[in-house]
Amino acid sequence: MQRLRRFEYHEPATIDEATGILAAAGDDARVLAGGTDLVIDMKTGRMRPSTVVNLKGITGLAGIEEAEGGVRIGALTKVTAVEASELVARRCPALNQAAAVLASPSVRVLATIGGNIGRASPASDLGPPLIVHGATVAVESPEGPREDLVEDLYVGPVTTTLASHEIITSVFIPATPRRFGSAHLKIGSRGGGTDISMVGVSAAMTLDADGSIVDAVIALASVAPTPMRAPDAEGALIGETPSEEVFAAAATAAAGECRPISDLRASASHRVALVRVLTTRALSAALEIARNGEVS
Amino acid sequence: MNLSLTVNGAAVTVEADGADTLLMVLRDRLRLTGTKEGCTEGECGACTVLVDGVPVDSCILAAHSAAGSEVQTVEGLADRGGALSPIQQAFIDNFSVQCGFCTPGFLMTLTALIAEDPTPEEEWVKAAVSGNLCRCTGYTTIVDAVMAATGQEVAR
Amino acid sequence: MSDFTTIGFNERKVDGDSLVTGKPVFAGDLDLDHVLHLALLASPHAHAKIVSIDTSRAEALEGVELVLDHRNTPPTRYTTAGQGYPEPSPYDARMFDTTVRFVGDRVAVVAADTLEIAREACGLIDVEWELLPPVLSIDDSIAEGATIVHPEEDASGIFDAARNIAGAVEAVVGNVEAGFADSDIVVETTCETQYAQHVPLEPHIAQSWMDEHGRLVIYTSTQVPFHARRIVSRVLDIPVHRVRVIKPRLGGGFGVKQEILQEDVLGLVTLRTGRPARWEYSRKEEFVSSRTRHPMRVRVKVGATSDGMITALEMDAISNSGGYGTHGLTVLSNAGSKTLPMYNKAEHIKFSGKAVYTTMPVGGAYRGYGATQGCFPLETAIDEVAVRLGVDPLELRRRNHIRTGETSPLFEELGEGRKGVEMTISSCELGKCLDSGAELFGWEAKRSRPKDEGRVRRGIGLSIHMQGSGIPEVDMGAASIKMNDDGSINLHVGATDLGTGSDTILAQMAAEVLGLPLGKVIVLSSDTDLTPFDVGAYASSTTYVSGTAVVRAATDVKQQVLEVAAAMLGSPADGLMLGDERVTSPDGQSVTLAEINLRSLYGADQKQIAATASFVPSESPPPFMASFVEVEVDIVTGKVTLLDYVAAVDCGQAINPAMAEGQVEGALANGIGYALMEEMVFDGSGRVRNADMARYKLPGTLDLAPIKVILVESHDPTGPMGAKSVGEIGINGPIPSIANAIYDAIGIRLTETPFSPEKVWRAMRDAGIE
Repeated sequence: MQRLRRFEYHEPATIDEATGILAAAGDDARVLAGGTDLVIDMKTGRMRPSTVVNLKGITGLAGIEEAEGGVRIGALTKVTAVEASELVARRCPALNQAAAVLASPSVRVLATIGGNIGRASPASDLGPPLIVHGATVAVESPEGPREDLVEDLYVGPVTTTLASHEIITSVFIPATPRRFGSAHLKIGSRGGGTDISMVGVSAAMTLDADGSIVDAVIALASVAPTPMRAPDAEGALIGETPSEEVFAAAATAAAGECRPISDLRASASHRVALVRVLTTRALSAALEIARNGEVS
Repeated sequence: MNLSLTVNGAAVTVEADGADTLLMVLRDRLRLTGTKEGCTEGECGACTVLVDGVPVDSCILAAHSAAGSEVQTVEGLADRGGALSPIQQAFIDNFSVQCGFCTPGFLMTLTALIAEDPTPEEEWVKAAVSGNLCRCTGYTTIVDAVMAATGQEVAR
Repeated sequence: MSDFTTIGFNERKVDGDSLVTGKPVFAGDLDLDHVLHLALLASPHAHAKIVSIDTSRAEALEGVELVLDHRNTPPTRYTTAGQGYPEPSPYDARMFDTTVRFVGDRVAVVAADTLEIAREACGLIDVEWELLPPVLSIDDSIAEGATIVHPEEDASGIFDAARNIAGAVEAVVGNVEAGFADSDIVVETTCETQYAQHVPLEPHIAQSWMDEHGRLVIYTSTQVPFHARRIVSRVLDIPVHRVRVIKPRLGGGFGVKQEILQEDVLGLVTLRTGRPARWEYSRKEEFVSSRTRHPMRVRVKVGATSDGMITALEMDAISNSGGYGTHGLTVLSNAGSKTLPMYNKAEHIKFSGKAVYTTMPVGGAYRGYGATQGCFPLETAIDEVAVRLGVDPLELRRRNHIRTGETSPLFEELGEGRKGVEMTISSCELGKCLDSGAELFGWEAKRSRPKDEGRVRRGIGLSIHMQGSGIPEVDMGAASIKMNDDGSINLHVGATDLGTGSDTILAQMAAEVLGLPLGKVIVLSSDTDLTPFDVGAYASSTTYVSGTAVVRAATDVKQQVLEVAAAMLGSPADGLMLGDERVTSPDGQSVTLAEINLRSLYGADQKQIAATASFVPSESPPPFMASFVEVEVDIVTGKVTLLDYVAAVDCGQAINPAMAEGQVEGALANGIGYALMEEMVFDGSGRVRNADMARYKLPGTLDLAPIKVILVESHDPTGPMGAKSVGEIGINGPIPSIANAIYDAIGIRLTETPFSPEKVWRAMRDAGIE
């Protein structure tokens, strides 16, 4: 049976203790949250950390609550909890939909929202919905707390602006305006969400009283080194009245600005075609919610 | 480092370091070999056990993350007298077992499902076991077993 | 309906209880003291010569007990294929060779106190390589001046080593050229199938130890325990009687465990060190270093008359055997022999093919065994004939398929890599399969609805199939039965239950003959010390071949029971009735089986009631199948979704209908995976890029259509209780049925598997569908 390689293992009781251990251990220390990526990477030897800090003993890092001006989700909140949360379903439809298709149920029950963000996979399922909702993360380190947009964390494949001694403690999703809708769609090669995506698309839009689009955000996964915004597509929407043509123009723009590579899961050209399809579908789904005013 | 947890109702303390997965502790230390290793990376579900009632892939769970938890494995499904649980019996009656290597994982996932929803719909059953792979059956008989175990009509 | 008491009933699986309770019944569950763990140093190169190998750093590592490589292991050439002796596969492999022939080939094995130490030690072995030109495809292999993969002089049984041909076969009936000239239409197509792996949930695992008498015991997850014993004995040059092979429960095989991949090394480690040893493939090793399905390129040409009669058939197959020739010739042969005879009205048939060496992963036995690859172009071409003639493809097959009492000249002309055996079809309900399958599927209604023109387009397709029931005049099965003092029996079979349920159906056969409830049959399979010989579980042989042996042994035991009862009842044996665990005379007196055996074991004329019987088939009655599928093609994404799958199967008398259905359902699911998602992908140097289950996709619950299986009532007079075998046939249906359904949906004939969204999307884009 495959064992993990040797390393120093810690179970700190507080965030301060955790960041202290990480700071002392140096760059190849790793935080263990759900472990669904780290444990596998350590088994395969893709990662060989000298020190692993398991956050499980730190209280107060899990939970979903209404907070001043939005929803706060603790970093150690399991993806299943995000998927099951009424509050998330109501306030952040795209995040709810993405949580429901992140890997298989027995992985979702281990994986955490903070871990998913910190992993910074180009194929991240939670990155795009958090981006379109303008979510921020709270980060702790010996230098003190800081906040950052999720969108600004991503630097490259599996690389973030976070230093190895920084820990994401929570995610904050600001309240949305009236007539707002969001949606997330993904295509993988297996049914349901059991599979890493070939392409993922999140779309959010806000309508004015007349039904015109006053704001739109689109974020894509698996088509660039990191989850990415699609500003040209957003520009094609803002100020327009929703229609098939407008959505098609936005989808074409998104297809034009994504920067996919060819890999095992799909070729670059197929991904471009999929971005076009999913963008259209995600926009229609977001529009439906915006019109029905489900988000409050 | 000592690790204390409850396995199939019995409190146990074993020596385990941070590198051990829960699967290793179960199979190598506790000799509970009913739980299987199929892929080592959380893809096949053969290693599924219940941790505090929730099905998890024990091959990607650091053992110490389960410290203090109640772990249930396939060896803990039948009662002390050996009477099979309804889903175990239904697997036999509906021919849901062929080679049997994936069976413990399926049984654990489905035990949790039935505990949560005593009459799950077929689509929900399929979604619940979407992380459990079986190479022998094509899954039809496995869904049948859940329907039978929960007193619902079996499709065929 | 017959008056069977257990045959035809859904008796529960005899090993079901131990499997659902997680008992330690698999090879990896055995916990041996002081066991050595083995780790493989696999070749990183597709083709290279070992100039030198230095294992001193590995040997110096604390906890390392032994390092094996080509310098300290026997040089005997052999084949890893677990086939009947002499094997129809070339002797082109060594335990450890000086040349490696695929990425993943054996270089060295370390035996150490722990797996970590063994793996670490592998990393300390220094190899100096001389890289040789790789041969990465069929085209590379057959090219003028291609690098020769097996130039070594001590190999034997290679058809033409200088041209990289491991095996070749040709069979001719009539004159196809004349046949095509006389045909009204001729359709030709070439299809290619991809590398795929069996992916049993349990990777290869075996353990070994010396028993208290100094004999080598190998406890292994194998489909072929007796072949394993013979091959280990040959390679290690120790007598067969020094080796015992035990097969516990298997966590799936599907053909990949018909290969001797670990037993030889384990045996040598235990012989050299005296210590128990354990070798467990990682999932990656299972993908990279074990065996695969042979990729093939198969061209088919079909001639037909304008009234829809198939008159001429030509098939030409090239199979990629990889670095070694295991099963190369026989899998190749079955591409034709298990497909073309279905269209026996054709008077002109030609099959030719060759299995070529490359420096890619090695093909092996895989459920379907060539028929899967051959039926793709054949059933595609037949479908095209129907389209061109404007005939319902269902009707075209009705007109042309083989029937009971008929034969195909190909049965005699084409066997497994040699001449075959003349055979008249003793049972064929393909017509009923087509009828009942079409009815449940709703073929007529679905065919007559208007074509979809939107973004999602539905289509329907069908195909027909055959397989065999064992290899005639080659396979052998044997069974031993002894009766105990309570009337129960021990049934010892060499037949290998790999999850298929063969222990259960063989027990049902014995129970039927002897009038016993199933609970009174104690099955043991398989242990080369205890059970009689059987070639093992492959070629759809167990029900038919091993089953007949069981029926014969049980019939012999029954006669012995009646003779003892005759003495007890004072009534002639030939007038006695056996049933319900007792023997009854015509005048109504009876004795129980327990009484009979108590007398036989303890009373008068004492003897053990027991018998051993063998069976070698003289024919191989094919099971048949009609396969129907409805798909939906998303013309924007290229995604093919299955909406409905119906398979109607003639497997003779189903011994246990639920388990027979389970065999078909599982094979269909495996075939659907092969048709739509499963593919080993390689980089430019022959390395597998997706050697894990995250990147090699098996179908899960959300990927499969509702699968409905119909067992069509049938009885084969040559089979045990009327049965034929059914383990493989289902896997052949999905590729051609889905290909034909995709054609019906979007008008494009796909000729390369798998039909991934990308491939379908590209084909549509090339055809201007958007």
